[in-house]
Amino acid sequence: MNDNLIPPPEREFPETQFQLRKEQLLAAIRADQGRHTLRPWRQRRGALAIGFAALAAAAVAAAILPSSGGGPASASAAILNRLASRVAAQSWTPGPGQYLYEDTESEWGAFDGNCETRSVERDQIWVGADGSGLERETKQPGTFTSPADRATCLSMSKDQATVGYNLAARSSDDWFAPNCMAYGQNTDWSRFSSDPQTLLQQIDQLYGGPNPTPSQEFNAVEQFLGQRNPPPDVQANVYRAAALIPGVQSLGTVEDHAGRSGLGLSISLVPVSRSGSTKSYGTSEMIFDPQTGELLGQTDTGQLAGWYVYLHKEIVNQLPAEPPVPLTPACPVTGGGTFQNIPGGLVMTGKS
Amino acid sequence: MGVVSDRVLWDRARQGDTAAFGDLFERHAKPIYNYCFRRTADWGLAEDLTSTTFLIAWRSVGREPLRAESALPLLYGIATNALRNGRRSTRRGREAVARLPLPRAAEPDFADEAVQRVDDVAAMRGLLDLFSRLPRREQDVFALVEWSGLSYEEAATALGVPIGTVRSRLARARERLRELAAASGPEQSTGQLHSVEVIDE
Repeated sequence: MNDNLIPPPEREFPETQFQLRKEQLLAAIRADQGRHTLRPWRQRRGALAIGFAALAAAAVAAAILPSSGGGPASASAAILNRLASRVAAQSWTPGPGQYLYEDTESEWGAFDGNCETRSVERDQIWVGADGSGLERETKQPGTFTSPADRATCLSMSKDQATVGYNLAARSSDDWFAPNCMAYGQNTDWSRFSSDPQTLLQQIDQLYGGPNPTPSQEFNAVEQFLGQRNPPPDVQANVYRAAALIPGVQSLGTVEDHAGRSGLGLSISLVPVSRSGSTKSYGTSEMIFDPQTGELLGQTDTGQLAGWYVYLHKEIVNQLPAEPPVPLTPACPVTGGGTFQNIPGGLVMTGKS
Repeated sequence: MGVVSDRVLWDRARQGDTAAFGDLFERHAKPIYNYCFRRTADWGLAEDLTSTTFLIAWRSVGREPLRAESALPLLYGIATNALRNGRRSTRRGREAVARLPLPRAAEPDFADEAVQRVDDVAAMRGLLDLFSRLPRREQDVFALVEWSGLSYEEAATALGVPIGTVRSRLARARERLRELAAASGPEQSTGQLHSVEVIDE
């Protein structure tokens, strides 16, 4: 490994802190054991907070709270429950020889010190019924957010590599032989509860960490929907789980970044600080198709703005191009194979 | 008497034996602590993230048996998620993070080690300056395999991805790092990344 990339040697956990942390952990566990049933969100937060205030430090460091009310019985909850019924009626299972095709676009800032560049990235994926497929990633050239930002970036001579990297366009095609594509194939969806409260806790554990705030839970739901591609019945349950998050506001009809109208739901992001500041620095939004219930997009506003749009989803009969090499042999176990670099991307097969 | 395996401790913990889980903490806190430090360059935050990792692990104890002999891949995976959430929130809440008090200093037993830890932070920050330019999922794989010494199989378990994905992300990470180092100037491009070759199957 490059000398520049060798980290410092491992250190011992400081002894006094080690014992303290262990005692706090065991105290928290004992407090957990005292809970015989799953509790509503607010009670769960309280119960956990008693046992390990210090444990919560990491969560507090990143915590964000909603700045306004709105409980589970709010308009947003009613919308989510209605959307759940609609999305559950969808079907996205490819037949033999077919592929589930999804097209996503996003834009986020790439930060380097005071320099911010932005670029739009497109992710297209074709997932075959036999576990073969293609993932195509295309990053458009980056842009500066303003002339002032451009000047700032270009003045940072030591970081020209970063700026150049962030501004460069890139693309790749990754091909998969049968049974090699892991996307959605390896997930045991049956382990996710159909009970909304339990499911929300499962999602918290995946993305939200301990003692999540409502906006962290909202973000966790966003990530679960955006990254895991759950089947319609699970997706519907996720909506019902999201309906339990307090502080979510209905925005009515809004447009996503692709110009499509949908129902918007939003939560306000407020940093937790020792000074007690409750000034919101932005919002996090999800936009849904009112007819199908599908998630259209996610948008963050404020000083760290960015967005995803889920542009297209359909069952198709073929890949957009012929694979550059034969996609054989199949992977012996789902998602388990070997990769080879090819010009413009990778190919994964069961070749040993 | 032989060493009790993680799987046995995990099973005991599933049956309510908190001391068994304490033993797992004794056994694995150090590597997780160092992994979190290497991802954050912050000893205090690494302590918090280690605690968080084990707490989340405890909550998963009751639901699933440990499939592997070692709990470490699972713990690395949980830590990676904790880091991810922390960064995501940090990205969104830069001002919030900036307002937080400085992390308290570590409490090493010897003055020499205190100095070393300060040096570690400076060294790690410099390293992360380059490293942070990689896509996050490539950072995860590189840190687990190259810095924490996990095998491809263990990294795949930790991240919940196929082994092939670990290989491909690692290959890309190495390639990008080589490009970045080359683009950073002649002092960083004189063959220093030659050992970071893409390994084709």
